[in-house]
Amino acid sequence: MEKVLELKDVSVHFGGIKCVQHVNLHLNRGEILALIGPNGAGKTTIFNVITGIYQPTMGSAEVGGQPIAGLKTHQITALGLARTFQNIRLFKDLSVRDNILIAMDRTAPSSMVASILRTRSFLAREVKKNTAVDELLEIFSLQHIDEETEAKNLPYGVQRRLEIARAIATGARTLLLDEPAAGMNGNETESLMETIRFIRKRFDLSILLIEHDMRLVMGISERVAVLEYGKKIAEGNPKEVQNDPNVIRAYLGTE
Amino acid sequence: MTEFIQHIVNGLSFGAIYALIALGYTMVYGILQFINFAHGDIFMIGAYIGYYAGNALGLNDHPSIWGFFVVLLLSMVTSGVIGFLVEFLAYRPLRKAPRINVLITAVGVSLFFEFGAQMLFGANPKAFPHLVDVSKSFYIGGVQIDSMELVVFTVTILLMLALEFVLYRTKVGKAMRAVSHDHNVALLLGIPVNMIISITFVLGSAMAAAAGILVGMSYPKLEPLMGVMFGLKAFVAAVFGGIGNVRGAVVGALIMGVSEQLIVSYGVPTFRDAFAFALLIVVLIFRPKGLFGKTLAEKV
Amino acid sequence: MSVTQKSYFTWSIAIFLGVLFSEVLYPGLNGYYQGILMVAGVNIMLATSLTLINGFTGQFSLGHAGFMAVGGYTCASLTIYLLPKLGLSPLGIGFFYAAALIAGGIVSGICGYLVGLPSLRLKGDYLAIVTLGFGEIIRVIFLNVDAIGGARGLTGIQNFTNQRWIVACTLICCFIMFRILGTNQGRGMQAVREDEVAAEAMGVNTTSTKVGAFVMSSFFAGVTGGLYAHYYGYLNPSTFGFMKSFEVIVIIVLGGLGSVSGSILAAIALTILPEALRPLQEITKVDFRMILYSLVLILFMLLKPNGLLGRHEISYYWKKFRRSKT
Repeated sequence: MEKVLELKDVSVHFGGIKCVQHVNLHLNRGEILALIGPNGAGKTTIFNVITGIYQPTMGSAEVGGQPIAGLKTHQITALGLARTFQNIRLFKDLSVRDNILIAMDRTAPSSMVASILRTRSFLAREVKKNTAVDELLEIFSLQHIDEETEAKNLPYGVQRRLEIARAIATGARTLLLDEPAAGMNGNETESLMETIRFIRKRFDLSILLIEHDMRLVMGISERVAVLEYGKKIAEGNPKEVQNDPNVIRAYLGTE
Repeated sequence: MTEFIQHIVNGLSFGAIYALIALGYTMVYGILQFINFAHGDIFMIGAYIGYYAGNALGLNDHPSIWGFFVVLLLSMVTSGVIGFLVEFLAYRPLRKAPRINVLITAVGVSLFFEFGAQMLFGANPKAFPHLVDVSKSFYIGGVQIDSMELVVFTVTILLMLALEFVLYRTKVGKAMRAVSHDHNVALLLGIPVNMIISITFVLGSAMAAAAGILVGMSYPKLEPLMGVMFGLKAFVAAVFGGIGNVRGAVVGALIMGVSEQLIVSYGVPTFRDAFAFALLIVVLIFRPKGLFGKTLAEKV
Repeated sequence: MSVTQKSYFTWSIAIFLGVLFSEVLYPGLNGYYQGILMVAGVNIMLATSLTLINGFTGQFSLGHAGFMAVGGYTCASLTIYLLPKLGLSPLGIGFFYAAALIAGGIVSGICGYLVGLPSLRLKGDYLAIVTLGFGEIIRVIFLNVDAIGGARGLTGIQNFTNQRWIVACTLICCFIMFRILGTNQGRGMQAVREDEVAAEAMGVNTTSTKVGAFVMSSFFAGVTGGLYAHYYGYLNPSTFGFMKSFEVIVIIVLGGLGSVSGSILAAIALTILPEALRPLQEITKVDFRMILYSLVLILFMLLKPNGLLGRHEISYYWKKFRRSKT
C-alpha cells in the first residue's frame, strides 16, 4: 500500500528532555490513523516534526515519499499536507471566508501586477476560489454564519470545524488533526465523525489524528498507535489496541 | 601602550554609565518582555532634577561631597516616582493588550517626556552645576584617571552591588525573578505581581537617574533630547549582553563604552553614533540572544 | 453593478476629483494653503505605504524616514549631477524626473530588502529597534558624505514637484494600497499579522511576504522622498531623524492600523491640526505639536486602541450602516 506519510526512527530531544524516542510510524493512502496516549506523550511534538516546525534530533520524516528535512512549513504544505492546531490557531480578526481563502490562495495565486490591475485571469481565479469556499462552508455547516463574522467571535466547536475546513482548503490530501473533538459535546462529536468520514471520501484524504475522545478514535479510525513517554508502545486495529496489556497499563496504571 | 590603556579607562567610565541605564532596560524586559522606550528619557529627567537641585543647594559655588549625595538621592527618588507613575498610568492598563499597543504607548510616553521637557526646561542646552570638586587627576603608571572618573566608578560599583544584593539576596529580588519566569505562576504563589513590576520600574528609573547625574557632571551639557542617544545605546548594550540578563547588560555596556572610545580615538569619530546600531544589527542577525541570553522557542 | 464596475466607478471619481483639485482648486489658493496641501499629499503617501508593513503585515518599522531619505537623496543626486549633462527638452526633463523618482524608489526598495531580511528572525520590539537603527545609520552616513552636502544639506535641487506630481503619485500610491486588499498578496500579509505559525502551515510563505511588504513600502517611501526633495529644493539629514518616522507611525495608529482609508484621513487631519494650532504656538513660543501628538497617541492606546477605523476601510462601515437601516 502507498504510504503518504512516514516517520523513520524519529527522536526529538529538547536539551536533556527526550520528548520522542525512536518512533516509527506511517500513514497509508486513504486511511484514518489515530495517535493516542496520555498527556505529554509527545503526540503534538510528532505533528510539529511532520510540519517542519521542529527538526528531529534523529531519524527522518517523509511526506508522499519525499524527505522533508530542511523544508520550511509552507513547503511541506505545498507537498499536500495540512494540519489543525490543538489550541486553535485561526486568523482571529479575519472573517470566516478570509480564513479559508488564505489557505486556498496557495492553489491559485495571482501575480502582484495581475492582482492590482484586477485582470480577467485574477477575477476568474477569485471566483473559482470563492466557489470552492462556498462548498467547504456548506460541508462544515458554516454557510449560515454571517460572512463578516470574525473568527474569534465564533463558538468553540464552530472554530474547530472552520480550522479543519481551512486545512482542506490548502488542497491537502493528507490531514493532521490535533484533537478535533476537544471541548465538544456528544452530539457535536457525533456530527464531527460524520463530517470526517464524508470529507475523506469527498476529498480523497488520508488522516492522522490525535484524540483523547475514545468514542471518536474507536469509531472512525482503521488503525491506532499508542504513545507513552515519547515511545510507541502499541499499534494495530482499534480492537487489538484496546486489549493490549501495555496500553491498559499506560492508561489505568498497574495494580 | 599607555595611550591605549588610557582610552580603555575612559571607555570604561563611559561604559559604566551605559550600564546604569542598560540595567533598567534589561530588568523591565526581563519582567514584562517589552522595551520601555521612555527609559532613556527618565535618565534625562534625572539629570535635570540634578541640575535644579544642585543649583538650589548652591553647590555650584560650594561643591561638597555631601551635597552631591543629597542631589543624587533626590534625583533617584524623584525619578523612581516618575518611573512608577509611568508604569501605573500608561503601561499597567495595557497589561493584557497586544504587545504592539504597549510598544506604541512606550513610544508615546517617550515623545511626551522629550517635548514636555523642551517646554518645561527650554530647548537650549543648560550647564550642569559642579557638585563636587573634580579638578584633581591621578596617575597610575602614566595613565591619567580624573577624579570625575573615580566618582563614576565608585557610584556605579556601589549601585550595582546594591542592585545585586536586592536581586539575589532579598525576598523582593526572588519575587522579581519568579515574576520574570511566569506571571501567572507567580500570582498563584501569592506574589503581588503588580507591586513587583512597580518595584522593577522604580529601581530601573533610579539607576537611570543616577546615570543622568553622572553624565551631567562628566559632560556638563543638558538637553531635553539627551536621553534618546544614551537610551538607545544603553539598550543596544542590554541586547548585546543578552536582554533580560542583568550581569550581561553590565558586560555589554562596558564593551560598548570601550569600543566607542576606541572608534573615536583610532577611527572615524563621526561614525561613533552609527557604531551602536551596526553592532545591534549584527548581534540580532547572528546571535539574537546576545552574549549571555537564552532564547525560548514559541510554543505551538 | 458588479464589484469591478463599482471599483472603476469609484476610481474614475477619484481621478476626476484629483484633476479638479490640481487644475482648478489648487491654483486659486494662496501659497500658505498650497504648502499645507502638498505636505498632506506627502504624508498620505508615507502613511499608506507604511500601512503595508505596520498595518497589513503586523510588523513594526520605525525607519520609514530613513527610506524616504534614501529615495530623496538618490533622486536629487540624479537630477543634480546627471540631468544637466543630458541637455533634454522640457518634456524630456519631465520623463527624466519620473525615471529619477522611480530610481529613488528602487534604491530605497533595495534598502527595504536588506532591512526586511532581519525581520524574518525578529519580532515586535526588536524589529522596531533594528529599523530605527537603520534610519539612524542612514542619517549618519548622509551626514558624512560631502558630495551630497553632508551636514550642510544638499542644495540646488530644482523645484520639479508641482501639485500635479503630488496628486498623481498620491492617487497611484492609494490605488495600489487599496487594491492589495482582497488579493492573495493582501490576505497573505494579513495572515502573517494574525498568526505566523498558522500562516506558514496554511502554505503562506511568510518570509517572502514580509520581505515583499518591506520592499514595496520602502519603494513608495523612496518615491515620496524624491517628490519631497524636488518640492523644497533642499535636503538635510536632520529632517529624516526618527521623529519623522514617529510622525508617520502616529498617523497610521490614529487612522487605525491596517486601514488605508483611515491612514489617509489621519494624514490629512494630522497635517492640518498643527497648522490650525500655529497661532497658539506663536503665543506660547513652544513647539507643542509633538507633545500633542504623543498625548493623543497614549490616550488612543488607552481608550481607543484600534484608532479611528480599526482594521477596516470606510466602505465596511458604509455597508454596515446601510444594512442597519434596511
